[in-house]
Amino acid sequence: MHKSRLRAYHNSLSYFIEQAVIPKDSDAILESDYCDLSYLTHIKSGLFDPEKKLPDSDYPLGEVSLLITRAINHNYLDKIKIGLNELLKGYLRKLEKDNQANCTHLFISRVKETFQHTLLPSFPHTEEVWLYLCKCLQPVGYYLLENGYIEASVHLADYVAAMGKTAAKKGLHTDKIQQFFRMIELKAMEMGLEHLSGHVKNHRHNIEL
Amino acid sequence: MIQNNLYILIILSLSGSLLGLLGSTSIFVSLIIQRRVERLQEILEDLVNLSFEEGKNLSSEIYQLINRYQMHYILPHGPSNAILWYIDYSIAAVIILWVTGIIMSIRGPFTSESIFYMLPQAAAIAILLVFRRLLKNAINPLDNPLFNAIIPPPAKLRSISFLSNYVNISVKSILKQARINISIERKISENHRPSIKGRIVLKQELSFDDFYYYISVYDKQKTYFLGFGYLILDFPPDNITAKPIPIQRNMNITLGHLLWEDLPDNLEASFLVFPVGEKNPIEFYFKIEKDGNFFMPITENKCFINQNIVYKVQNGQVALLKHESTLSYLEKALQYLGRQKGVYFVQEPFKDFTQQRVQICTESPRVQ
Repeated sequence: MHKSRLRAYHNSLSYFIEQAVIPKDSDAILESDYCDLSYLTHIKSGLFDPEKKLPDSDYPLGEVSLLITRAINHNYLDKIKIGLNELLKGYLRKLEKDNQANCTHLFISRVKETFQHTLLPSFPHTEEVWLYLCKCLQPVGYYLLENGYIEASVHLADYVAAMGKTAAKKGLHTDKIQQFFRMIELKAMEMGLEHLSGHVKNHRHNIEL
Repeated sequence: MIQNNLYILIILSLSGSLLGLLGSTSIFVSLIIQRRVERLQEILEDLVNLSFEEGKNLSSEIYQLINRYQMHYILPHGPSNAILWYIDYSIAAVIILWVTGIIMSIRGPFTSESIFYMLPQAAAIAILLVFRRLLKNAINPLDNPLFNAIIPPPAKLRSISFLSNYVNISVKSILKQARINISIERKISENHRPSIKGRIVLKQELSFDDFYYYISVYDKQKTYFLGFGYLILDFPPDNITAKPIPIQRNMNITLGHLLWEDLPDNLEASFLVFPVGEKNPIEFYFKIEKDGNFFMPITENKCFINQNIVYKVQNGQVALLKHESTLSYLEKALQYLGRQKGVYFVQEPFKDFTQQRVQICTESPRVQ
């Protein structure tokens, strides 16, 4: 029973992740007919026509996030772990040289969203989820570096640092994250990516300030 | 004309009132000190209480507490200088008045007997000067032995031996917050020596110090590296902002060098901390794996109090009272361990472990 429930959950996660269309970095991330005020500096008349509906492809991964959030609300630890894992694997699958920034923003912001949701006081497994997430992030960071996704690494480091800061504020251990940063830093140094290693080092030093 | 006899009385009452004012100043000073001691004690207590929440990440809280302690520890220089100035001048005035009184009351020639009459004066002046020193130290408790017992300097708060003297503190969980970690890095040796050396580094998120340590890096067959010493750190004030630094983050302390080429891919490391006020050492156990140019931990670090070892610190020497652990070189290494600050190490102790093979690591700790 448990297994079939998890399988169904896994299937729907994979389905929604596969459905997601990641726009290329050269395209603006949410370029469509829909008028999102946060993306505009000047409003041209007619843009906020009520006729212009929300297109389907604008918010990929919304369903995925919803599924995981539901699992968090039910304190269903297995489902949360599977969700995070699938999300990160989907991220690596969808990642291409020309969509590094968009792909990282779309996927990792969902991961961050999930993590923030687990900080709810009513959620009992905050620490487990955080530890699990830290462990998952390590190989992801390595994969990005080893396959030359430098821009994605920078964005990932930013997201991880933001999550680490939140975690430190909540009294969660950040040694795994610092280790993650340190490893990325050393690897980047070895590969001659001074910019990245400096960026990551800065994050490592500021995580608990 | 003023009568001499009467004038001596006036002088005495003047000096009496000055001394009275000095007395009230000391009450004022003691009020300040009491308040400050209370503040500092409170922070110290907070720090001690923190040590019981082991599961939480408290390193930034500890860092902030120690910095807050540092802030309350230094009184601003303006008021303390004004008080000192006042004390100095009143003491000088009192001494002058006393001496004038004596000079006026001398009649006839100066004999050896008159020296005898001046002794109480001399004693009173000496006591006044001691009183001045006492007040001065109390206002500025920085680095003087008189008040260190009541108000320890902020650097003491990072001292494991000092903290371990408190009854109700868990040194283990304080050390756990320091996130002690061992890393081995490959390092091309200086002077173009053919052997490629590795460097073994102790990493600390919070720079705790003042403890004896022992470290060995080994695998199933043999021990590759042995290190021991007495770790004490010294942070001079920041050279740009001149602010004092009671504690640092991201400390890297080089514990020695080892021969990189001979190391196998999988290693274990045990790091033992011997605080002065405890009897069982705190052991950190690491499992590390080679990955390119460095070793990285593969499992969670373990941190526990090793009940199999009982020690006692006597005259700066760690004496083992009970030793039932698997660390084979521990007893021998502790013989060479003195209280002077020093980082000693032995490469490949299985070959030979004598006084001649003990090397000193002089690399200074750095923030990285």
